[in-house]
Amino acid sequence: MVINHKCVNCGADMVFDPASGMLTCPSCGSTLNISDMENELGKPEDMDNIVFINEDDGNDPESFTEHEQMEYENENKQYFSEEDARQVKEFHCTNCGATLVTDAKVVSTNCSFCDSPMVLGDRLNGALRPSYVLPFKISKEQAKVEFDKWRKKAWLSPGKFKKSARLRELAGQYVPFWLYILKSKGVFSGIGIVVRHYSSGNYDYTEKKYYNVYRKFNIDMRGIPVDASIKMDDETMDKLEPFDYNELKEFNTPYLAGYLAESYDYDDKELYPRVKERAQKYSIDFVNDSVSRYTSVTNRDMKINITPERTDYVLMPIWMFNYNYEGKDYMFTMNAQTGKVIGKPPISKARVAGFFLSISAIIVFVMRLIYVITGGSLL
Amino acid sequence: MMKMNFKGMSLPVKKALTGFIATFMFALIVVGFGLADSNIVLADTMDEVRQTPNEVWFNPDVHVCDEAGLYTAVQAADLNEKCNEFSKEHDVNVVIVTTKWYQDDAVNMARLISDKRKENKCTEKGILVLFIDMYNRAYAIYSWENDSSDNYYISQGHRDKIISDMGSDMSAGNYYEAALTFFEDSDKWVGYRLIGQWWFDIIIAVVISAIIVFPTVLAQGGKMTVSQRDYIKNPGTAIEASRDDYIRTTVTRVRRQSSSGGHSGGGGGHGGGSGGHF
Repeated sequence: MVINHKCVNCGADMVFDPASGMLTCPSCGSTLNISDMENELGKPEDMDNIVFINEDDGNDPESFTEHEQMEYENENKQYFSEEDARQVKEFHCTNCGATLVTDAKVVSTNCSFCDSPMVLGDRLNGALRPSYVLPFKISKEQAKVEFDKWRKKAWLSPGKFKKSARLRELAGQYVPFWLYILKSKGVFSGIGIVVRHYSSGNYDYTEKKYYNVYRKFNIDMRGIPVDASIKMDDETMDKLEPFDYNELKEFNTPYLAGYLAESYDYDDKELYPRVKERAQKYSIDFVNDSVSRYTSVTNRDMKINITPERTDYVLMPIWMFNYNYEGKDYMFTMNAQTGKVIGKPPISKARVAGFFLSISAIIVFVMRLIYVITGGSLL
Repeated sequence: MMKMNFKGMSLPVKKALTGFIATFMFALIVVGFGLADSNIVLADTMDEVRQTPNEVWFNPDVHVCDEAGLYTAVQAADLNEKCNEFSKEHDVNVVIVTTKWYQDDAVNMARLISDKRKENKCTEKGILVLFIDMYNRAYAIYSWENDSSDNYYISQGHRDKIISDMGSDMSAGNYYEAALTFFEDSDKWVGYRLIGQWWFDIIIAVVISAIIVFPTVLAQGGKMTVSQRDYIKNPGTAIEASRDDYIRTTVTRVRRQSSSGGHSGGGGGHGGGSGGHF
């Protein structure tokens, strides 16, 4: 099933407009409120409130039992049959009738012949149906402006980079993510030391007070995102965070109109080790905050039990920039909700050297100035 | 007072008695003059000795106080000349003190020399003392700036190096050659400061610049800006049990460096001095 949203007034293809948050006709300007539209995929079976942001929704699912957790961590087989949905690789454009062959993971694209936006509904059913979508908030034009601002701030890049770099490709894309809700329970013990320095008479004193420190914690972590696309660099996707979950919408195909989208390559079980590692780090950071009154804590012993409570399949918006500068391609990624840009620009060795020498010169000048002021000679 | 009567004595007896008295008186005079001339302080106990420094040590115009007699007259004169040249070149008052008496607190003795020389209108910026104690077969170098006891005019490391360089000549009894080594090494390091050295400034600048520049270059690609606070939600998160049980307190005490006015602190090789045995 190829879903294509035609304007009821002029028959043109409608696309999602980030500025208005509505489905918009680029020809006649007609708009449709997506929340009023019927979901062509039908009502989802298990749709709760958006639990990543509600602080007290009273709707927490029970934690996994130990057995369920082990099963969750170890079992890699798919609970849902998604292969059928991915089998079909050929589609016919509803606008021009052309036969299109796409990658099995593509769920939203444009016709290669008439550029008409197409959403492949067959690949959005069952286990492949996202729970939520974070709609684009930054339009293509805004993305260019924001990126140019970012380029101007890249002051260690060659000056010519801003002027002569050619934009080869700019694409808006929804990236599949899993959002995890996790419970972290555990205990921490250690020796806390409070150090105090003071002077009396001709002596300097160092006083150390030792404490037995114990903490039992119960941490609720919501919405830790992990990208589920094999094409996307994990580090880049992590750096694009945070996303504002207040703007999450229940998934509906019109949000994809005009943008590329692919379904996940990894399911939530396969990605669980990654999110578990982050959850453990966050647990340690949380406990460290609770013992921050100590100068140092030694003999640390910490037991952490991470329990997955819920996962949701969500599509997140990004802009992909491909710039060519002096024969080399540079990829940049923008969080299409916040405008945060990630990507390594070309670095000018001369500028880095100049920066290095400037700082060195300032430091030498300041040291020499202090030396002269305190009675030393200039040379 | 008893009055002696020579009238009843025979002549030989009178001559013998007169000769004995004369000899005794002469001996007394010779010994008296001898003691006065030797400038040696006699004492019944060692305690009295160590509390009696030679006044000449405190005279800023005297640079070689060779009480132990380690140098010939020619060597002493030569060393005195070198001290004069060194003092002018480096603006430091140099004194070489050799003693054959027991000194149990050489650092305080050296500090006393420094303070007394200052009182006696020592005009140089600092004082450098080479102290050779033949009783203990020990030698040490002390250096202070006049305006501060904390800023040693030659650093601890350099003083140790000088002591080490002098070691072989001191052991072999070549005290003059050892003194020449003392001058040669001191010439390199007296008044030497890391702060103020151009190469030191440049190394510090390069290290700090590297610490600033490299992370800045790496951060050009963007960085992670989320923390646990972005994903840990309340309610549902809590420290459910917490204990902070006091165990014990320890206090360590370190004596501060003595202030510029006093000289009672130090000892055990500290307080601006480095020493060795031979």
